[in-house]
Amino acid sequence: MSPRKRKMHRIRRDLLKLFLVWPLPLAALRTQAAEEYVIVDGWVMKRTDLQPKNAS
Amino acid sequence: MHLDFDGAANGALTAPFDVCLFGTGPAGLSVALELAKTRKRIALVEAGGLEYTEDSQKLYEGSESGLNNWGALSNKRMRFFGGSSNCWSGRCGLFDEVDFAADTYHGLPGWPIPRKAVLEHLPRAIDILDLGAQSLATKPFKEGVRSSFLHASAAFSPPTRLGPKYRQALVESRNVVLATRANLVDLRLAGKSGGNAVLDHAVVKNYKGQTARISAKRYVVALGAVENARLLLNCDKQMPGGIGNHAGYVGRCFMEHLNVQIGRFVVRDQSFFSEKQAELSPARELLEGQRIGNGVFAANPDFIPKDYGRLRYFKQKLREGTCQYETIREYARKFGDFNCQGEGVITSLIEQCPNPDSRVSLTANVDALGLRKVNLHWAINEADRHTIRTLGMELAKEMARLDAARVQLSDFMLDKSQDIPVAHHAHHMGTTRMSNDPRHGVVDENCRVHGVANLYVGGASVFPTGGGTNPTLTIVLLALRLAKHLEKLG
Repeated sequence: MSPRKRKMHRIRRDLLKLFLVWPLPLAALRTQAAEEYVIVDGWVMKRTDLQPKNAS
Repeated sequence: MHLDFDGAANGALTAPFDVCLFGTGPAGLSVALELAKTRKRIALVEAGGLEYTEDSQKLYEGSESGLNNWGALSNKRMRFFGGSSNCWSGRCGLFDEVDFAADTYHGLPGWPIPRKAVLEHLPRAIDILDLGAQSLATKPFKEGVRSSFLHASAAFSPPTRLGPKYRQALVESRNVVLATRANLVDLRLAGKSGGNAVLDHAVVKNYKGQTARISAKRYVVALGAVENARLLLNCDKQMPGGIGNHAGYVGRCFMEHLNVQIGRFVVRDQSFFSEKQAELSPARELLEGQRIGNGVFAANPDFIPKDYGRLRYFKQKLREGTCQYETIREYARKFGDFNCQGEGVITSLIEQCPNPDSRVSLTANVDALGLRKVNLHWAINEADRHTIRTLGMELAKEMARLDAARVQLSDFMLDKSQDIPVAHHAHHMGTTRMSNDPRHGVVDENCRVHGVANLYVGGASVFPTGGGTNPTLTIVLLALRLAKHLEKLG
């Protein structure tokens, strides 16, 4: 394989990797946000506590 | 044999002893009970009488500064046979593995001995403190649920008053001489052995001002954390700065357990609170991950709030009415604290890190025996504030995550600019800390004072860290370990 072809191969491989893994950091952020706690008047609550209970 | 030293019948104290024990609290009595089983001649010396007397208790008096300790010097300890076991509450807990860790979060060395070194004496300690078959193991917060908080190790003594319980056995023991109303006022050194000074004799004084010498092969001082430091600092005629004070640690690192009401809670799932006492302690992973001290939180919900007095019917109706409406409830709490059904406050016992600025030091005032009185300066530092706030927040989050309860933290838990109102638990520790490195401690792992061949210290003053539970069981465990060591020395 020529050096040029090898370089192209490496670029394609890196792009493919990037394409495959980009959702992962976002998913991690989303998970963290979902588990976050909120403090209202000193009460330590889950974020879901603040959602209306009968929301459809 | 019992000798009232005020009666001046001090002939019995002149015979040389194998071991001379000063102090008859949980530490001194535990060592005495074990050594009484051997062939050693023991002198057990108590500064007070067999019963409480005002003249003895008065000798504890000194001054206090720093955090308000509500009369720690004279009100929180008893100066007569049995020591502070005459007034303790009886709660016992085992220090966790993490409490004995050599690697600490506060910079000073931790315990030089592993937990298993004291646990081997647990059956005997359980027997001495009458803990029976109660379990001392930690348990999950709720069976089958993974949590960063566990039900703490706890067992309850009746509470045993060690003086009345063991008095007769010790007085009747053939190799024990119990001397009461004999105040230890000086420790005199003479000669050297293997590079260490040797204690030649101790000087005791009665309430009439008469003195006597006691000679023994080995001496154990177990007078309580404040008095152990006070005595060693007062003995500065032959060792400048006091015996064992080569590194300046005698009296320093005075520790209490921090009593903080971190907030209020409302139960969401009653099944989490089915235990008699919801006493929760953090898991090791949480403590090591956050680099903080240990502790216990008591969260006991008031499922049936009660009212008392002639007006209890009206009080009950008023409470029920107030509790129904959140706005009225919160407004009413500005005038007085009360629980609605399923609510409670969270109290705590939190480890204080060893802080050299928190200390016992001598003043220029002297007591009736001629010993300089102490000033107790109790202080917490930033590491302690971090421990209190982090543990409180983690507990509140964990209660929310598990849906066990919702916690309302007090304002000072969230606002770092506010002072934390800290109360005490009457647990005095750390003033003659244990370290195998003489630069960081007063006694070695066998409780022997560095630089003195035959002087030992008993009690919570040797704790290098205070752990996250009541200290009495650990005091007894260490005393039993010391007794075994003294027995081996022949």
